[in-house]
Amino acid sequence: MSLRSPRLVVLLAALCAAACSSSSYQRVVSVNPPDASLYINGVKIGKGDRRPREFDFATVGRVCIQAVHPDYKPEVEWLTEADMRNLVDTNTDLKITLSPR
Amino acid sequence: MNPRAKTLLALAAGALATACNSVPTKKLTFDVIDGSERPKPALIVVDDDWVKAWDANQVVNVTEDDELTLDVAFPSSTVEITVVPLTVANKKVANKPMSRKDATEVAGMTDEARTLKLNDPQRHLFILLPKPRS
Repeated sequence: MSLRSPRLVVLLAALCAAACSSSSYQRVVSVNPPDASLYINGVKIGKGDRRPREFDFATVGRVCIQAVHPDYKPEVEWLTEADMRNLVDTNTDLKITLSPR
Repeated sequence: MNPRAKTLLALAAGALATACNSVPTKKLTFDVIDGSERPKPALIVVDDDWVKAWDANQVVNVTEDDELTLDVAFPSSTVEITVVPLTVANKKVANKPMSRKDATEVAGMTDEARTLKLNDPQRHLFILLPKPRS
């Protein structure tokens, strides 16, 4: 192998590692009550029944999660990528409980 | 150095200084709903600049169910966004509050303030509720 080849391999490995390190996470989210509406970054994504949701930190430093129900006080939670990584590492679901109004 | 080169150098230095001193801006989109997810008329106030908010007509859901996109300047690391409820009659703003207290008392709804960072999401939803009876 020539002198250049090991450098090339290291460079390719670094590029591959950078490409493979994703800033996207999947976590189970559940809201109590489950018929509350769930919004992520201001976009309604459905109801709060327990299911996996996608969180992407490629362009943002934190994500905003909101749950709203006509009979309950709305909740807002901000999660950083470190918060999300911690949830993934500890295999913890994201649970939001609304208080009655 | 010849005069032309000096001029070019001065222009380049000026451009560099402008670039270094420029305040970053970000397009932010705002929408406002109530607890039943119905659109609520509201005023969007950036960094407590109420005069500019009215001058620039920074309102949502007044004439129709819409949202507002603003180029928000970040002179510091955060900006304070205040969303206050408005009363609307015949698709026109019925009163022009200049404070959070005025707005919430007249509309009978809560307001919401949020501190935003430059790398926050582009879209922001505010949820206003009827004011609790005192």
